Order: sequence, then structure tokens, then C-alpha cells
Amino acid sequence: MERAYAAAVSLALLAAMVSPALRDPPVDSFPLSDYPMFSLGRPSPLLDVTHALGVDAGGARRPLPPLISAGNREVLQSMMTLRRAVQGTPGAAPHCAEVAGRVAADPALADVVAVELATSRFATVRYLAHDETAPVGRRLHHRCAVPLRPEAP
Amino acid sequence: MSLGARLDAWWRPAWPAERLATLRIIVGLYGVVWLAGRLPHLLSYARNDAARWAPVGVLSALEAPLAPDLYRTLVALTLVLAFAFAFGWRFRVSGPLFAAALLVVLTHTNSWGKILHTENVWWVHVAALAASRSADALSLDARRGAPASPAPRYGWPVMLMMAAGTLPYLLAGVAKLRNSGLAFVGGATLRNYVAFGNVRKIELGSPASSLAPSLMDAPGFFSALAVFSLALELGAPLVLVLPRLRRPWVLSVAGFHWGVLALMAIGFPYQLSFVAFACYLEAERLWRWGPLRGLGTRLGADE
Repeated sequence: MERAYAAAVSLALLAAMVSPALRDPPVDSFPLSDYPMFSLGRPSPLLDVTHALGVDAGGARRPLPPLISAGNREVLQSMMTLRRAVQGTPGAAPHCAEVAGRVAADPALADVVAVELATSRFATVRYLAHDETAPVGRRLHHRCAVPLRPEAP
Repeated sequence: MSLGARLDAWWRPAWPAERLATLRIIVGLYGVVWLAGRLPHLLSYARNDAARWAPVGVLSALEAPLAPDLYRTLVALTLVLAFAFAFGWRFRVSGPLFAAALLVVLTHTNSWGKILHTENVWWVHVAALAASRSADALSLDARRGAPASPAPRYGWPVMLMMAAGTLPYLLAGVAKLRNSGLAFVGGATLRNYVAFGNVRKIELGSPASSLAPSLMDAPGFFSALAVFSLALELGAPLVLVLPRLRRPWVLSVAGFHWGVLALMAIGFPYQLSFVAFACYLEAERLWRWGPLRGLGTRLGADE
């Protein structure tokens, strides 16, 4: 009985773990996955990323952190939230307003006057190796002003 | 000895109950620390916009996220159950309950459009421990019982934890060969992934690696790293049949995860903390370590 229980539990768990890789196409889920990360060929170092940018009065832009851009600490989940926001209905405007509201409530972002949701293209190896951080292309989805901040007491 | 008997002796070695129990304590305490440390983050999912819900796994059938109060209660209950699991209190009930509650909480956190792969092995280890008699020693349940002798019932769950810990690496290696072929070992793919991952983090407003920029012009480094990681992944199951490979493999894989953290700012806490690898070692020897010896004696680790 004990041997059968050990065999049943072991086979069930290990078979379940292998099963996502045996399906066509393989399935990535939780906690069972085919572990596809970093496996696809990536001959090009070009990256397209949809992000939220804070714009100051001088026009300088900087990326806003996940908690501001998506209300989520997980950077990859914030990326998906932004991607969906610019692709879906009702479009990027409501999400932009939501982000601008969070910017207005954050004293560390007091210099930010506008928020832009954009998809930017970067040459990533040159970006890191030679500090060429300017995007090689950028598509603006929406720009919105940061609402007036409450006066400090 | 027949093949079946040899297979049985290999998969169900008569190992001490203290080894399995020590693993329960380590994995359970990791759960307590992880859940308590990430409590604000976990609870923040209750405020997520339901429109972003993209369920996976056991929650696939749910059209909307769990009700916020239900989810918050479940997170709190999971933390309480983690204590019960670690201390082995009414384990026949608390063990499976912890595994089930943790599965729902972790699945919920992975159901927002992007699956993270950082907690998979942890949950599988919790499941293996919950399905075993890992509270027969070093537990509140075992306080009044006679000391358990080494037996196959304490060996196979550890073997299962080892096998379950190596499988993700094997699957990741197979996925690389399937999707990239041997081009992966050329190094360009890996270098591009490192560059891609870091720039993506920076441009999403998150900290990135400070080491990666200095390595971008060293393609040989990435080629060597690709060969090394692929060998570790594809060779992982060998540690099940060749015990002398366990320590070098464990040290190499732990180093691999620290390397991923340094190069890509991606942390796998279960692996970085070494808890994921405790099952490959004689975990009960932990209680012979000076600062823990007194506690081990009180728990009955030297009986």
C-alpha cells in the first residue's frame, strides 16, 4: 500500500510537470510550465517596449516605475498592463489619466507635468554598451496633463 | 535483485525521518518569511482592475478575480497555515491545506497577463512535503510519539523533491534546443536577451544590472555562459542517479541564479536563498551546526 501510494504521488506530480512540454503547442502556466523563457532565437537586439513616461516642464522624459505606471510592483506585469491599455478599448486615454493621478499624488514626481504612453524602439546592445539611450523610434499613444496637486499646508 | 526491486530501492531509500522533517521546516519557514515579507505586495492584487484579469492554472475557469475580501482572507490564512506547516501542527490537515491555499494565492498573482516562473519549484516542493509523512519528526505532532526509524516512507519524498527540482531545468534546456537549436550556444541570443531584459527594465522604471553594460562587447563570455547553462539544464536529471554530482550541480545552479541576478536583475528567491537545494544534501546535518545544536536537541534531532 505504501509503495503504491509513493508511486502514485510521484508519477502524478512528475507527469504533471512534464505535461506542458508535451502538448502541441507547449503550454506555459502556473505552477506547470514548459519554461520557455529565453529560449526563442533573438538574433536582433532591437526592443519595442510600451511604457509610461513622465515629462517635466523642460520636456525631459523619464520612465515611470511600475507602481505608478500600472499600480503593480511586478515590472513584467506592469508591461502587460500598459500593452493592453494602449491596444484595447477604450484606448489609452483612461489609463493615462489613471497614471497621471498617481503621479500627482507622489511627491517624488512633483516635477512631472505630463504623462505619455508610448511604444519606443531601442537598440539594446548600443544602449547598454555605449550609453546610446535615445530611442531609435517612438510612437506616442496618448499624452495627458498631470492634474493640479493639492497645495502643501 | 530484479529491476523492479532495484528501482524501488533507488526511489524509496530508507532515509531518516529527520531529513524529510528538516526539509519541511526549511521550506515552511521560507514560506512564512516569503508570505510575511511580501504581504503588502500580495494584498495589493486585491485592488487590481478586474479588467486586467488573465487567469491561468487552477483559476482558469474564473471569469473574474477572487472577491477582494475573500482573497485577502485567503492570503492571511495561507500565512497562518505556513506556520502550521513549518512547525508540523496537525500536519495531516494543515499540510495539504497549506499546499492548496498557496497554490490559489500564487496562481492568483500569476493571473494578470504575465506568468512569472519564480515560485514554481517552491510550490511543487510544498506539495511533495504535504503529501508525505514529513511531520513524523521534529514537529509538534511528533512530541509524544516514539522516534521514527529510517524508512522508505521518508526517502521517496526527498527523491521526489530532487526530481521535481531538476525537471524545470531540463524542460528549460529542451525548450532552448527546440526553439533556438544549437544557435543558442553561439552566445548572441543570450547577449541579446541580457541587453533586452535590462533595457526593458530601465525603460519600465525598474532597477537593472550594473554589471551587464561592461560585458556587452564580450561575445565569448556569453557563448561560454550559454554552453554552461545548457549543460547544467540538460544534465540536471543525472544528479538523481549519480549522487556524487549533487553538490557540484547544486553549487553550479545556485551560482547560475546569482549570475542571472547580477546580469539581468532577475531574482529567483527560492533558489537564491538555497532553500530549493536543501533536498540534495543531508539536510538533517543542519542540527549539528553549532548555533542550531541546542534547538536540534530540544526538537529531538539527535535521538
